[in-house]
Amino acid sequence: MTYLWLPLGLALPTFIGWCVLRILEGRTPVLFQAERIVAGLCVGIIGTMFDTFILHIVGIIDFSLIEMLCVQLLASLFLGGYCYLKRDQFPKSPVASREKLLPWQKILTVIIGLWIAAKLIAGFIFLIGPPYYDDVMNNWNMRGKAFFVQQELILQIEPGKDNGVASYPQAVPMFKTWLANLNGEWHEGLVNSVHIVWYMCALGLVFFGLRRLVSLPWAMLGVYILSSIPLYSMHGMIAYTDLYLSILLFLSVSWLFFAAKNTGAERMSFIRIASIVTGLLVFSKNEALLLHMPPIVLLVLVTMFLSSFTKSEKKQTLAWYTVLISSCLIPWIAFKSYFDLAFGNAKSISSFSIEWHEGVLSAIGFNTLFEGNWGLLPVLFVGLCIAQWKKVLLTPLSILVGFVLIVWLGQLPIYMFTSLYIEALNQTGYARGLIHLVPLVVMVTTLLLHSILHRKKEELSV
Amino acid sequence: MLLNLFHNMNRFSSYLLGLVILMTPALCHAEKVTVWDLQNQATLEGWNTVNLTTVQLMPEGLSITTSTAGQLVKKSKLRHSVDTISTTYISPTGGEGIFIWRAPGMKEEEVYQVPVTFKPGGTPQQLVLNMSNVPEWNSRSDRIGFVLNANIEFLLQQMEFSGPSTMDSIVYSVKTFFTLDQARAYSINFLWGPLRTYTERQYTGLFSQFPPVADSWNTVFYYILGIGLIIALWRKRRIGRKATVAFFILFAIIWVLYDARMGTEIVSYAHKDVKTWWSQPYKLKDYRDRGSFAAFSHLVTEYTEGEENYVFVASHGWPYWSTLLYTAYPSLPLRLEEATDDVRTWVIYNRRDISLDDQNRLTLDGEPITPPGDMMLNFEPGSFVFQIR
Repeated sequence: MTYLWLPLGLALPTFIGWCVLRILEGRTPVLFQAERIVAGLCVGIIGTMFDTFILHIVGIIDFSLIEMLCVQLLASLFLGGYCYLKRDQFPKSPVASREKLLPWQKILTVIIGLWIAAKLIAGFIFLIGPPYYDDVMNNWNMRGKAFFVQQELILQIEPGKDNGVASYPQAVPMFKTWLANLNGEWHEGLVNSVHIVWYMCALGLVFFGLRRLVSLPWAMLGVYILSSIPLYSMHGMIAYTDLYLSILLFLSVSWLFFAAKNTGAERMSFIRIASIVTGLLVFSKNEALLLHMPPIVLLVLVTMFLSSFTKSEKKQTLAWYTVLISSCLIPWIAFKSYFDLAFGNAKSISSFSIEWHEGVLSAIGFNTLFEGNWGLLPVLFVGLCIAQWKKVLLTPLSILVGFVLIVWLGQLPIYMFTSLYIEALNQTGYARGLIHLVPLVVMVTTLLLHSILHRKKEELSV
Repeated sequence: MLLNLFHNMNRFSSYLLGLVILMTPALCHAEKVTVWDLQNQATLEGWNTVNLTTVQLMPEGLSITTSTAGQLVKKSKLRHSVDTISTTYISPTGGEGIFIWRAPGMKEEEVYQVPVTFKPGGTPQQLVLNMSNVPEWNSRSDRIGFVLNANIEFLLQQMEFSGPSTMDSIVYSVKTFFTLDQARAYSINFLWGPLRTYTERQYTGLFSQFPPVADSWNTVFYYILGIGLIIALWRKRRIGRKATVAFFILFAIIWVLYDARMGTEIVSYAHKDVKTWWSQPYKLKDYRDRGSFAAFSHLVTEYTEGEENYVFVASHGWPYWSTLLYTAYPSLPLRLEEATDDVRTWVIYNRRDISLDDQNRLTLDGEPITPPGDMMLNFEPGSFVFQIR
């Protein structure tokens, strides 16, 4: 019975997210109907929690059930009402071409589907157990529980003691507070269960992203590849926030990629929905502000010039990104500055001293190539990028690959030259940085595999 | 002519295949051994000495005397796994020393070391080092040798490096591939993945050491894929796209095998949770590698509820402190030295040195640390909840 609060708790944020995406798409819907629901869930949660956060820090609401509910009801009413009034101007969503699977493909789909289902059930059982992992107890769940108990945002769990997590964004803890409010008490299984939903969302969004470009079997292959990355699966069954961030990054960067691939109204639809996700990134994890947003902004600028945006499209793109990033970034930075909260992940960037640290590269190489974390994905991804270098460099795929490489390679100096080196040597930080990139890497890998192996008649198209 | 060549090649292949089949049992059962023999050698090749007083190559071996600590090291190129190192020597004085090696990736001046003792005697002695329990040991070390303490007379005759047989290496490698790790605190950051061991000892003690004494199966897969890629590129000229497809089929087979291995490990985590946690009554619940603490911390909340603070004393700080801080929140834990008289509830975990005296006070090493109170939850020996009256 307790777990029934999960779908109920997800319903309003999903509806809000759906409405926001639908409104931003406007007269040119670009997302599949089901895709918009899944993406709406992911965007809606962080968006709703950001609104709640803003209303809370300006003193309008607290974190009680009624007041959190009011925010969501009002947002639903306002956005839902707008969608209803504009329904005549909103055309139907695009539909993927219907394809029949061959008998062997059907059998394979059933086998792989059962295998993924078995892992999902196992993941759910693993996820709802007692607290076990450090950052669940010290950070993500701890803060959620503190917000629930105190009914307000608090920065110190133990008065007078700084446990180093106050500077982390609150979206995920606040959503757990919301679920606990619905249930009336803190329930470990319930508040954790959203993580397996996010894992399924990641599988679904990779499927939809690929389905826009390739046939059904190839899109399903992408889902299988993502489901078979061991450490990514672990993050679907442990209550950390890295997988959720990976979804938001996937939406932000892949939608920019689709904007580059399209033209006209479709392009601008993608730009609008990509810009809102990019703006909200800062409220997910600290890395998003420092590691992810700068390369995304850089890629937006490069894309505008390399993908032949018209003058009007450039202006609109700049306007959308500027407004939506600023509307999230300014309050967040103001909040952090006001409470003197550190910028940086785990350690403040101001405390970094620059010096070379031995052994970091070999630890990173070992983690990437010789442990079971990623299966054979790094080799396949890099191999395909080399084999298909023209496609990688000369098509919009360069946006996806460029982002992955900037973030991946950009992390290396941080570990090699700063005091964060210990996170690479102890393998506590580096792999989580790669988790954020996995859905994008899988999408690129699948597209490049398709490009190498597909028969001529199956051309890549949008 | 081409046909002839093809025919001859086929015949050659058949001979080769026959030879391989005939030799396989012998190869498989043979232990891999490398011997560095210093007896009856004309020159001393590959050995470096530092600070040794005298070094003389004799028919019986390499004769050394030391007046200060000195070093004898050989440039090594061992290319098989090694679990036993036998050194044959004669040392009239006997003495202490250190066996040293420089593993791949280490700096020039760094070495790993194991202390050794040379028995005194006028006849050949054997120093046998079992390296299978030394996680840092790597047979691919590029420097291997000894540091000899001062005032030792030493005649080094032979060093023998033996590893498991090819058959053992294969059997245990395959068995280890299917050996699954358990969910641990590090599983959020990395998973060891499929590993290779070569001996029964390594295999049985696989995940009992951190890091495991084993190699990654990924290396094997990379070799297979590398060879597959070379063949595919070579054959591509003749059979075109089929070669590419064949390579990716090979990739897919390995991928699925990998996924089956890792997916099974993930499912096994949940299976263990069901077996040791979900299906057990609280008194018998165990949770992963935290034993009974998860059950204990859950039961404790009944007694901390409504209390501003409680005193928490456990055998270890991590992970118990943060777990109980979270589980019993908003009630906050205090350390023993922070305890004050107005804190009623004491939570003790895995501390058999804390017990009740005849006046119902908690005592630590016989000294009372609380006023009289009552045992509220007697969970297991050394683990309980106590409340001051």
